[in-house]
Order: sequence, then C-alpha cells, then structure tokens
Amino acid sequence: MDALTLELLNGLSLFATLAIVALGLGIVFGLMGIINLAHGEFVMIGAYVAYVTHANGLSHWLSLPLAAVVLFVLGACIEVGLIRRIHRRPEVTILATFGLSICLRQAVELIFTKDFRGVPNPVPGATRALGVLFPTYRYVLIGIAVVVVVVTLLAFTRSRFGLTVRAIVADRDLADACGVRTGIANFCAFGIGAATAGIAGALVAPLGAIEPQAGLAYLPGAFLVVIVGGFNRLWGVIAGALVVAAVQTGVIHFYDAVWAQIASLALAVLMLQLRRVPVEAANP
Amino acid sequence: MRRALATGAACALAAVVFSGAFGGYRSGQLSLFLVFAALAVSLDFVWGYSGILSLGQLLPFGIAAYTSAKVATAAPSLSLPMLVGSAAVGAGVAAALGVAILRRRPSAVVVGLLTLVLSLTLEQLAEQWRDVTGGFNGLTGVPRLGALGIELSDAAQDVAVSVLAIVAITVVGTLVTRPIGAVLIGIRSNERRMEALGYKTVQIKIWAFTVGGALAGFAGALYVHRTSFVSPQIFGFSLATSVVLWTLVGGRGTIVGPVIGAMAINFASATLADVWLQYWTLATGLIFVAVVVVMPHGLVPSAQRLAGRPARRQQPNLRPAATDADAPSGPGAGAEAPSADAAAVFEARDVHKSFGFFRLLDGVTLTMEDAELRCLIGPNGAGKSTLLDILSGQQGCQSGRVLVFGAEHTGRHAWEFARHGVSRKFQSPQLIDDLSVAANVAIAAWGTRSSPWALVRRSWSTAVPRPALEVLERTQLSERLDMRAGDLSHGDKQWLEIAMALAGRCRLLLLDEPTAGMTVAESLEAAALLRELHRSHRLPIVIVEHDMAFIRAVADRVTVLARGEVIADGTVAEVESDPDVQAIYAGVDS
Repeated sequence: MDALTLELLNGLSLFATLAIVALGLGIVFGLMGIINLAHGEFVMIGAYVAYVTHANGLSHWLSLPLAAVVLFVLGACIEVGLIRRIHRRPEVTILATFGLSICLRQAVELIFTKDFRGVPNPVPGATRALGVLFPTYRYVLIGIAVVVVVVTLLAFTRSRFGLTVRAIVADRDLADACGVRTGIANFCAFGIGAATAGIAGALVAPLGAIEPQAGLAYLPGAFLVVIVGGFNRLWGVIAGALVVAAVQTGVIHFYDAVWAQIASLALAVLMLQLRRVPVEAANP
Repeated sequence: MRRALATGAACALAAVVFSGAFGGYRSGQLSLFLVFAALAVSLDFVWGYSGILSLGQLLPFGIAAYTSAKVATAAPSLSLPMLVGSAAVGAGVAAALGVAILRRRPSAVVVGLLTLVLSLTLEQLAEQWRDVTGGFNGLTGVPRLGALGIELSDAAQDVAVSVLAIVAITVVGTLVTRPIGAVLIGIRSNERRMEALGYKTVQIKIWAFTVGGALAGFAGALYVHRTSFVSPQIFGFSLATSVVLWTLVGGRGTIVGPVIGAMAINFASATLADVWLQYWTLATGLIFVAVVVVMPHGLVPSAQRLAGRPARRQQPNLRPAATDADAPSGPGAGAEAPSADAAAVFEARDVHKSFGFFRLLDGVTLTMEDAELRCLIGPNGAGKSTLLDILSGQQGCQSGRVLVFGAEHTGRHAWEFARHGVSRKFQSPQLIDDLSVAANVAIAAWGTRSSPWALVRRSWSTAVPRPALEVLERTQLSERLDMRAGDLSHGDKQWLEIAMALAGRCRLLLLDEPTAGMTVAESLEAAALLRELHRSHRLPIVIVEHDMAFIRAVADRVTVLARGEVIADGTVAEVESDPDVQAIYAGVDS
C-alpha cells in the first residue's frame, strides 16, 4: 500500500515537472503553430538563473520570478529578432530554432564553462504524509508547478488577452483584418512561453546538475507531452503530461527509464495512428 | 543520367588521386567526410526531394553501424558483404519508421519531432543496453573492411571507403535524374495534385524514406569501419543537427549541394576546431540560423540563381499516343469492362456532408446516365466544389454512396478514383510549380500506372493522349514546354491543368471553374474546345461555373445546387425559367 502511495507521489511529481516544462512549448505551438526546438535551452537557462541567484547569496525563491523575467526578455528578443521573420513557415522555424539551440548552449558554455553547477535544496528533508516519507521540496514543486500551469492556462482561456490570442489562433488573417494586433500576441505568447520555461528551470534546479547540455534532457519528454496531448489545444498539455507521466511511472516501476521513454514514444505514434486525418492534410 | 554517372566516376578518380597525393591523415579525413556526405545525401533524398523532414536520419545510420560492428567483430571476413546487409538494415529501419509515422499524413512538424525524439531515445537505449551495445563507451576495435580472410590496410581502407561512398552517392544521384525524381518533387510541392493524378503518394513517400534509409545504413557501415568504433552518440543531438546543417547549407533538392556542404563544413571545423573549438560551435549555430533566414535554399541553388543558370533537369519528351489504345490511358480507354457502357457514368446517392453544424451537402442525389456535358451551378456555398471533391475522392462523405462507372467508390482514396478514370481540375490551378510544362504533363500521363520502381525504370519519352496535346497546341503551350509551370499566367495555368487532366486515364472530366482568369475570348475558346472534346471522344464532363454565357455555350444539361440540395435540373432554358432558381439568384427567400 505504501509502495503504491509512493509511486503515485512519484508519478504526480513527474506529471508536475512534465506539465510545467511542456507548458511553454504547448503555448508556442498551440498559439503560433511553431515548434521551438530551443525550449530545452530556455529551461536550462532558467536553471542557471537559479544558480546565479544562489551564487550571489540570494534566496532560491527569488530565482523563480527572476528566471521568469530574464527568460521573458530573452524570448521576446528572439521573437522580434528571429521568429517574427519566419513564423508562418513551420518547417523553417524548426530549423531556425534547431540552430538557435546550438547558439544558446554554446553561449552558456562560454560564460559558465562545461562544469556542473548545483543549487542547494532550499527545503531539505522529507515530510511524512499518507504514511510515506516524501521529499518536502517535491511537494513544493508539485504545488508551484500546478499553480503556474493552471494560472497561465486560465490567463489564455479566460481573460480578454486570452480571447485576443485565441482569435488569432482561429484565423490570423481575419483577426488582423479586424484590428487585432497579431504581432503583439506572438510577442507575448513567445515571451510567456519562455518565461514559464524559466520558472520550470529554476524550479527543477535543486534536483539535478546544472550544465549547458541539461536542456536536451527535457526535450523528448516535453515533445511527447505536446504530441500526446494533441496540438492546438492548450489544456492538452495537462492531459498529455498526465498520460505520459502515468505511462512512464508505470513502466519505470516494472522496468526502467529507457523503456518508459520507449513506451511513451510508442504511445505518441499510436496517438498519431488514431488521429483523424484532416482533409487539408493532403494540401501543401 | 550519363552526366550523373560521369560526375561520379570523375569524383571517385579525384578521391583516389587525392588520397595518393596527400596520403595518411588527409586521406582519412576525406574518407570520413565522404561518409558524412553520403549521410547528408540520404537526408536530402528524403527531405530535399521527397519533402519528409526527418531529423532521425541517424536511426538507420546508427543501427546499421552497430549491426555492422557486431557482425564484423564476430566474423571479420563478412565485413565487406555486410555492407550490402547494412543497406538492407537501414532500409528495414526506415521502412518500419515510415509505415509507423507517415501513413496518417502527419505535418512536417510532427514528423520532425517524432524522428528526433526517437533518435534521442535510441541514444539512451544504446547507453543502457550494455550487453549488446557496450553501453556509454560503445563498441571498440571494429576490424577494418575485408573479405575472404583478408583485411584491408588503413590506407587501402581509406581509399575504399571514399570510393564506396562516392558510388553510393552516385546511385542516388542517378536515381533522381529518373522520372521518379520529378514525381518526388511533385509530391513534395503538391501532394494533393499528385494524388488526384493517381499517385499513391503515401506509398511513394514511404518508398523514398526506405531508399534514403538504405543509403544511410550503407554510410553507417562505412563509418563504423572507418572509425573502428561506434558509441551511443551516433544517435545524439549533435550529429543530428550537423547532418541537417550540411544539407541545409549545401542546398536541398540537389545532390551536389549536400556533398559540398558536408565536405566544406567538416574540413572547416577540423581546421578551426583545434584553435577555436567553442567559438566554432557557436559559429555553426549562427550559420545555421543565418542560412535558414537569409538563404533558405542553400549555397548551390543560390549560386545557380546568381549565375542565372537554374538547375537543369531532365525534360520529358512528349509524343502523341499512336492510337487511343497505345496511350497509357486517355479518353476512350475505358472499354476494358464490357459492363462499363451499361452503367451510369457516375452516381451520387443521398450524399450528406457537414462540418460541425454546417451542412454542406444535405442529401444530394446526382446521376449521369450517359456521356453528357453537365454544368453545375449555384450560389456561393451551395456545395458545388464539395460535390466535385466527393466525386473525385478528395473528401469523403458522412453518409450516402458514390459509384463511378458502376463501381462502388464510397470512401475510396483520390488515387483510386483517378485510376478508375476520374480526372479533376481544381478551382485554383494546382500544378507542380517547380517543374516544366512538359514535366507536368508527363507526370499526369504516368500517374495512373505508377509504382516507384516502374518510375525509376521507365523512359522519359512519354505517350500522351491526343486530346491533351491538342489543348497544348491550341494554347501555344506546346511552344513553351521548357518553361517553369509556376511562371505561367493564370489563364495558361488553367489550360495546363486541363491538359494534365486529359493526359491521365481520363474517362470522366471534372472541371472546377475552368474559365476563371480567362478573357471573354479565351473562355469562348474554352467552351468550343470542351464541346469538341466531348463530341469527338464521347467524354463525360462536369463543369462548375458561374459564367452564364459560357454555360449557354457548352452545357447539355444544367444542375442547380443551393444550400446543399439539388433544386433544379434540365436544359439551360428550363433551368433559367425555373421559379425556384430565379428566387435564389434574385435573392428572394422562397
């Protein structure tokens, strides 16, 4: 019974991490129709923000808003300087962000070197609840991640800004013709997507090594969440994270992490087979 | 084709001379970079030619490399024959992947993501599965190439690997000069058009993916012998990015481009990385972004454009089919089934089609008993184009049945309709813009009898049914056969598309607004031409039109569609005097 509870908590923790890491990817894909292959690097830079905050003797909690701000600015600059020129050609954006990810990794390496960095756990120890011991920081992580994800999604679906953005998703040209400033929405979507990645990075920073290649580790999981959750639906991120976390936790319990990854990959391919072929799919 | 073979031979010779002249280190570099070039060409075949953005070209490459390493370590004298085996391994991996991923027509983004994630997952798997893959350190001490108990020396192997890589590249380079090359470009640039011409586009894409996988697998085996080890990083992000970079910088859709890209970037990084490693990696990232934004076609095509000499492609030679029976198809070629004459040309029974709450077609029943020239009219949104889509398999319907020449076609694919003789011209011209006028017509003529291998073997000389050639001649397109289709005027594009529809196995012609973009004189010319076609070949034609002058000039019979229902049917005069029709066109709600 306790073992099951522990697995459930592990699954919940994985779900929260996947959801907050994939959130920005899902927002940028759902709203702008592009895949940002440099998303993992945004998460990695968020972790470095946490490291710098710690190195300057500041509280870890301060790094969360700080990472959000830094990454928002970085994301906005990238949107203005690069994405804006190419966002209507999805294939081209994949390639451009592919290149961008190399630049970001390398720039971080030039600044911080390849050395592994770390951030001490701000709330060490474990909490006994439901009859099992579970690291306290993971409870905190689950809480913060869920709040960030839900608030962000609510902002996109329930606010006036969200309405504007969704109008753009439904029909960009029509929204443009109606006087909606489609450019500013892209700017915000990309910036906010990056900001959530920053929060995700700062949040997971105490749990692992911080190094320039760290972003790559998040990529497969986040992509799977977006593929499984379905494109174009913002809440799909939550559904996708839930399914992927459930499959991975289940498979890890019986086998190991690699098979878990393969199982969720198989799931993504399966989802692809089940999906109705849209009429316009055959259109160029 | 001869040019490709000659280039390949010259390159192989040059590689041997280079190895002899510089020897040792340089020769080794050359062989490694040529292997990378072969890998880039395999990506180019899949991506540049066939339009499948695969970021997982390392899967067949790496799996074949591991397999070859295993085989060669266990039985060194099998290593040379295993090169062929590794191509088969690569092809098998790619085929499985293609079937799993490509069948549901995912977008480029999904294909790119899935293949990339798959590759990264395999990297982890290779690290974990220590018994077989040797874990993180991989398999080392792979013997050099050899057979029959003889192992090549280092120097000899470098030359052999260089030459074999060039041979493999040349094979693919030759392949794309065959008709299949034009067909792949067609599928890349307009899959819908190709399917409407009878091509099983998904099957052909999976084939192309498989062929690309075979080349990648072959390159993987060469790689593992050349470097004598293989580690999980062969599936990693870094190499995956590099392959895309080489292909992108050199130029997609050419064979020379990726080869130049791979050679140039690798020689540059080998030279610069020693002194400048970190900055060089940063520079590759910046080059990547810059090429994507500034020079998306890559070096070779951009240079060709600057020099004012676009890539020369093999042009088909169109010849008139001696008789209708000689043509692969063509009007009148429908006599093979004795019952075909007895059955109605087409029959749509109680067809329903809706998107959400919006009913596009609400129980349409439409039959053409005999070869007639029928016009389909109705206000915007009446469902005319949708009906043509359903009669040509572009869209399915929610309920109802579609029969063509008596054969059940409900729920069939567009290519099945095309192969049964349904030819379609779309509302906005759907051509293969990048190919010449002649190539467009030839592709249309091949469409209904086309398997990938047949398209590799067949000649460029193409028998085209006379009606298609007549259209080309009457519109002077026959004098501009070498012109790029995308550069034609709108009116000429319409004519070319009509000629393409006639060049296939055309037993029923569906035309969606054929006179849009034509002058009054041209549209009357079109009317005369269509009547002539209909009369002399007994070709059934359905035309969606708005232009009443044109309709009066051509139509035997007119069907009026409004709000997804047939509201009138008869001669032009009958329909024009129908009060319901008058009410709809005058805007009175009846």
